[in-house]
Amino acid sequence: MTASVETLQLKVNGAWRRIEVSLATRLLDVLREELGAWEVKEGCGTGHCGACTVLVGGRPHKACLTMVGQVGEREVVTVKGLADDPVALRLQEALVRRGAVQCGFCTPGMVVAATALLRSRGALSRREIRQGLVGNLCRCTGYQKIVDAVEEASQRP
Amino acid sequence: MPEYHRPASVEDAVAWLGRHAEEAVVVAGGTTIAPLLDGSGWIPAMLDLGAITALKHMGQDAEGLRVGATVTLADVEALAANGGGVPAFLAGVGHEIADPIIRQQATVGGNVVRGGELATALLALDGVVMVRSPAGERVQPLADTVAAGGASLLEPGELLTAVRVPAHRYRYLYYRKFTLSHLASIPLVSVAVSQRADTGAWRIAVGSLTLFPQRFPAAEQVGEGSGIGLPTGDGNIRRQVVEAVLAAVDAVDDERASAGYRRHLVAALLEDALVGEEGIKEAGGQ
Repeated sequence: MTASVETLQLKVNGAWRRIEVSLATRLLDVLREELGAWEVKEGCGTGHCGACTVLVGGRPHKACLTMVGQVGEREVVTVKGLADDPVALRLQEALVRRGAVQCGFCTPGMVVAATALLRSRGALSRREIRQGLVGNLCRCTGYQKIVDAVEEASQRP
Repeated sequence: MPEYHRPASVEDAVAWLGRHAEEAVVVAGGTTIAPLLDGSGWIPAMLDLGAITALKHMGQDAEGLRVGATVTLADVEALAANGGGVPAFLAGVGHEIADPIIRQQATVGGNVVRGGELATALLALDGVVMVRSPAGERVQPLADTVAAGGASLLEPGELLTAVRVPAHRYRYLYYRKFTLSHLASIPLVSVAVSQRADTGAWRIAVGSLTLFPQRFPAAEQVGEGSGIGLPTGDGNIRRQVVEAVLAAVDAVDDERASAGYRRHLVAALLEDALVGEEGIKEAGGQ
């Protein structure tokens, strides 16, 4: 029998964190409310917008669609955990250069999702970028510049 | 807060589920459960399948393709690398579900149990479900399970462990879904049509009209009886087949579309399927 609240070890951005929480808590709530990872945004809470995208075991996940019990031993990486990642750095520079950040609310999830996309393949076509980011919405509708920036990041060595 | 059980073996999962059959919710990818959590405790117990490696295997042998219940939709998409035929067909269907991030999380088992698009495709492929419970294993064509007409593919205490796709060769495989916005949304209607290369047998499945996709044996007989091969330019046969489907189809009225509009879409999509317009088209086996 599993108690409803457990002491859990969770690896986030390289550090093991100890929390007391129900395993059925959304990973999004654990990150924001237990661990202060405010860089992970809650947009829709239903899996449509992608603002809460994080890496779990290196793969992009929507933290609102994930329960913390599902994470197990895998590391969770938020956009802050990508601060020194060369691919994410190249992407962030391109986003700034292209003016691809408007209100900025979608940006943390967009950077995590696009970094995973860039890591998974070589040079990306605009169509591949649009398909790869279809689960990340920008309510400012700044998609053109976001796609420009991801395309630029995918072309540079 | 719910009791949360994350076993490492199918045996442990089935035994636990046997004791919690009435109140437990099974979590595979979790993508449909997590948004429903509101802290009210309405889900008393959860069974998380994520640590059971035996459910994550996908493999092919002489009998066909076997896909474990917690294989992700992203893994199904990757079947496209195996060449054409049935794997490429399934990969194409998987590619159109949800979005690429959700496909890293969502599973084959979760999609099939909820009557999703893989269930529609599996009906056209004579797919078989493998189900475990404390009473043993049940291996049954998905079509039989769907035809039973219950509110669920599974009885309380049962666990879907895998789906199997028999090693048939196909002359024609077709899938298409119709959505109001982009590919990522749940379709108003989807169709999957197949014709075997050896026997010439037809399968016609329509999804998203009711809780589970439907198959249309009478319409399949009309097609098979004509002796033609798919796709076909024979408008007379196409009309007869579409009429036979419309005579049997059940469609819901809901906030996304009326039953009448859905019936109109069924006719339009089936016409395209039979003539070979648009859609995902494949031929061959595995």
